[in-house]
Amino acid sequence: MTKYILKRIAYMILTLFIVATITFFLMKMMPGSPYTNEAKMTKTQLRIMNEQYGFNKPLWEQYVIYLAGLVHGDFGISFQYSNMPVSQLIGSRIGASAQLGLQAMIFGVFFGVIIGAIAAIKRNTWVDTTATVLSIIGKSVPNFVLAVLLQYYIALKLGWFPIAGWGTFSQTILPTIALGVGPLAETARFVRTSMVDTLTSDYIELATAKGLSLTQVIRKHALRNSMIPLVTLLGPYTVSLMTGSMVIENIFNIPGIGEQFVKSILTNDYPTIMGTTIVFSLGLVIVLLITDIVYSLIDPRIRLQGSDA
Amino acid sequence: MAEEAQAPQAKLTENAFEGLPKDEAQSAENIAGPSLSYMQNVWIRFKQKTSGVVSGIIVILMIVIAFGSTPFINKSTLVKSQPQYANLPAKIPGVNLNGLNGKIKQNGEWVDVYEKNNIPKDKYFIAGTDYLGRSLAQRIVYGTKISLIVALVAAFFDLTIGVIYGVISGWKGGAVDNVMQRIIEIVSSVPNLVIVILLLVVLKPGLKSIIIAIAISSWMTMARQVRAETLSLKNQEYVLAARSLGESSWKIAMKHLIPNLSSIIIIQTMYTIPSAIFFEAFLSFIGIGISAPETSLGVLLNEGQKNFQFLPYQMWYPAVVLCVLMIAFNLLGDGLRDAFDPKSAR
Amino acid sequence: MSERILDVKNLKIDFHTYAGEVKAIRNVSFHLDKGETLAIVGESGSGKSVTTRSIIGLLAGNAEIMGGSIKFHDQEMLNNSEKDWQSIRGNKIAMIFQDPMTSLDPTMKIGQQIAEPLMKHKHVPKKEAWARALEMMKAVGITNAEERINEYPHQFSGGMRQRIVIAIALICEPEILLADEPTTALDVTIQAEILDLMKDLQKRVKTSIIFITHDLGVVAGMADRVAVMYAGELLEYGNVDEIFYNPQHPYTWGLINSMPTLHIEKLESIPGTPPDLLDPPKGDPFAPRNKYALRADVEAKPPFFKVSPTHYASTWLLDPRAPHVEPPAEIKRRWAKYRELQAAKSNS
Repeated sequence: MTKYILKRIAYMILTLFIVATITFFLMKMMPGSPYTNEAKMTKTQLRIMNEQYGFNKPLWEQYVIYLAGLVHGDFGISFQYSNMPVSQLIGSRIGASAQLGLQAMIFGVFFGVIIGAIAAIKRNTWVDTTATVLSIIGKSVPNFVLAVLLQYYIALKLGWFPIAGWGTFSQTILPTIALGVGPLAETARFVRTSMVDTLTSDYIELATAKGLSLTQVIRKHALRNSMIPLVTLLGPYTVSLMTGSMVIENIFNIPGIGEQFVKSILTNDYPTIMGTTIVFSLGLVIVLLITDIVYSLIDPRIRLQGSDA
Repeated sequence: MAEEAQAPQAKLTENAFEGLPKDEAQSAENIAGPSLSYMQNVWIRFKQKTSGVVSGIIVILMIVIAFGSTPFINKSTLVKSQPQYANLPAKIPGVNLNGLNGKIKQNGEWVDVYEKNNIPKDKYFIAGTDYLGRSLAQRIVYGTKISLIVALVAAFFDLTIGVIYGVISGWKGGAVDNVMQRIIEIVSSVPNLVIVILLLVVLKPGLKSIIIAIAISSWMTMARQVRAETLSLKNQEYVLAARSLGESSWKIAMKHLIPNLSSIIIIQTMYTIPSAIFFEAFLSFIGIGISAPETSLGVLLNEGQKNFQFLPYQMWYPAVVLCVLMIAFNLLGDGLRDAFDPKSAR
Repeated sequence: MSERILDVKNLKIDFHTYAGEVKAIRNVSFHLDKGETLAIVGESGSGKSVTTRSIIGLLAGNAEIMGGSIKFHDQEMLNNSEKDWQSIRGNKIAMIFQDPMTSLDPTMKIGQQIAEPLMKHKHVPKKEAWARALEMMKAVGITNAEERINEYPHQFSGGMRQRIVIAIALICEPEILLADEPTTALDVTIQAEILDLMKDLQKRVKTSIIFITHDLGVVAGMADRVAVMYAGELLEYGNVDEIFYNPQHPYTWGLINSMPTLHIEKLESIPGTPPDLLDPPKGDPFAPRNKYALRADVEAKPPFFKVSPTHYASTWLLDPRAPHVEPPAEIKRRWAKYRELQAAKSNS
């Protein structure tokens, strides 16, 4: 187990290194200047600015300095907010994004499992059909469309929740729903299929032949077996939540890194773009590692490769 | 014994106790019906599911309308702004339904905007206009075409890079497979949207950049699935037999692999498409995808969102079209999956 | 006569399918006495599994019992509520399934899976139930049971898993054990071990067994009585000797002829396929494949003719009006042997 985790961490570092490298060189290829008012600057001013950001050094040296900085958690200085270190900028915003992402994940998985399981148990009835239709809609309606609709009809028209902003719990509800509906629909579809498979399996028949009631069969045998594979979806969910956060945070005016990321793209703030990219990748590789470890803990059949028997 | 002979006294013909001639015995064994080929069965099962069929028809209709309209709706017609017609609601000839007859709700009352702005009586915009007076219907059709182009491109890369990568990785096995899988593992542990966004930042935003972005990011799920399936097919008896008989790898791939992979390839392609459509809409919505003078459903949604409070139709129409497109492809995918794999349709 | 614990009469079961009503079981009657083993023999699709499943109330969702009766100790089972069934399943009547590789819950410890019926039916506390599970594991021949009780199914071989399934079935000491091809999925050498184990445990637990198989070879050493099933109907039943040495129905002849023995040089197969049960034949269902068939076999269902007090067969060949037919050589050899045995018996 330890050996496997060490191996995985080595892979994670390699992945992050590749991401950092790609990001760095892509940013260097970026057309246009990072300075918004370059035209007005004198040559001296430009030289001073270049020196300050280290742009006068050869490319490889800039690369080495950048990597060395990364190791110490230094992502450079943001262009957008002058003199604000990117790490500080991200640090001040990651909390909101993490909270929103976690809430959306819990919301989606929790209701997804319930809907999926009920659909499977009542399969081929109107309950199942309704659940299937809802999950197709949930899967198909883009989250930013849903966000705008929720914001207008639920917050503005009905006034049930605040329209935007961040701070109170009620402000988190609409963005959580908008962000969580995708994972919810996906979970419901997945759990239904997996549960139907389980319910028609031989071991469920044996459990029934033992004299267990339907509730007991589901509680003791079916639910666990059909939920275990759900763990593998945590990675894809994380990706979709990160993607979604960029637009949902924007619509609901939430001070998170997704909203910041879009802003820094639109303003060519590439130290921030690079920093955010690496933070997103780091988040994903950590989730993937946790997925593997959790999977091996809850499914006795899985033995992590390289671990001692 | 309780089970005594108790069958009712059967009525037998006179010659009942003669042996039964061979041909008569045969005729007593009736044939259930002609056997059907695999694809015929798939087609029959697909036809049984209304949602799949309806979705297929919707997709075909959308393709016909979007591409068939090119002579009338193209880049040159898109740029014509007519400020005098700005922000008009929908007005459809012969329809007298509030919201579709040129009237819009302002401060709780239905106001005929066409009349108020002195628009000629015979001027109709069936989906209204945007803030520059451009026909929304035309822009939606054009946007749908962009979405469908993106869908086709994603499908193309799925079918080429994805399938080839997967087949090679699965078929070769060993070190080749190992390296190829590590590559996928690393690439997929980067949120691919992040890479795509970086690319779009570097390249000029536009359809070309989005296509490149899709080429890089869309095929990995397909490659994984094809690999897994190839791996299991490789060890099936009939493929082993073909290999031991010395058939060339190429011939085996064409004769045995591709036909058996076809179902997962088709199903996976159908699932890649909606995510590619979402992808484009998303990028355009946040402002780094398609940009003026071109338009796409994502751009329209972005523009519509700004005015949503006052002119909700400007967002509703593209939103509905986008959702219908996504739902249709998703349902088509489900329908095909159930048709190819009846087990999944339980 | 020993105590009769199960009596099935004129059982009719239909399956509702897209193609129509499949009349899977048609007028099947048999009984089971205390402590005996009844083997139901037939090819796949003959309805033997469906019949046994109806005894434990585990029919598929699209199956419907159209008539007949299943009496367990004079208690009509077809009126059972789901709750009644639950108190019978795993308790009074238990079942062993065909494929041990998929019959066990992959994510539950073996000990828990064996102890589960005991906790459910006898309300035994967990600790005690596990202790009984351990005993049971030893009884079914799992070595190192103290350690293995905490393991998961994937850590066991197929034969070991079938032993576990048997342990689960027998832990409540059921009166009837339904074994649905319990050895088909296993290696031949392990098959014999499992059969010996079942016989051994049957004596200890004093249970009756209904043993379903398509393999007549397995039946000989296992069963007291044999019922031959074909296309949803019983064709012949009797004591094991009577079926093996004095078979009367041409289908039974075919089964015996396709069974490898020392005397048969060339194995005979039965040509053709079973009839379509959407529209079952009105006569003997085997007639179309039967080279000894009479016109009567096609025209009307033959009644059960009594061969001995324990032996009945449903074929018009036993009608006094029927012509004499020459059975296959192997059957004639067996008949001769049977007559010898009978003669020896009456002399002694």
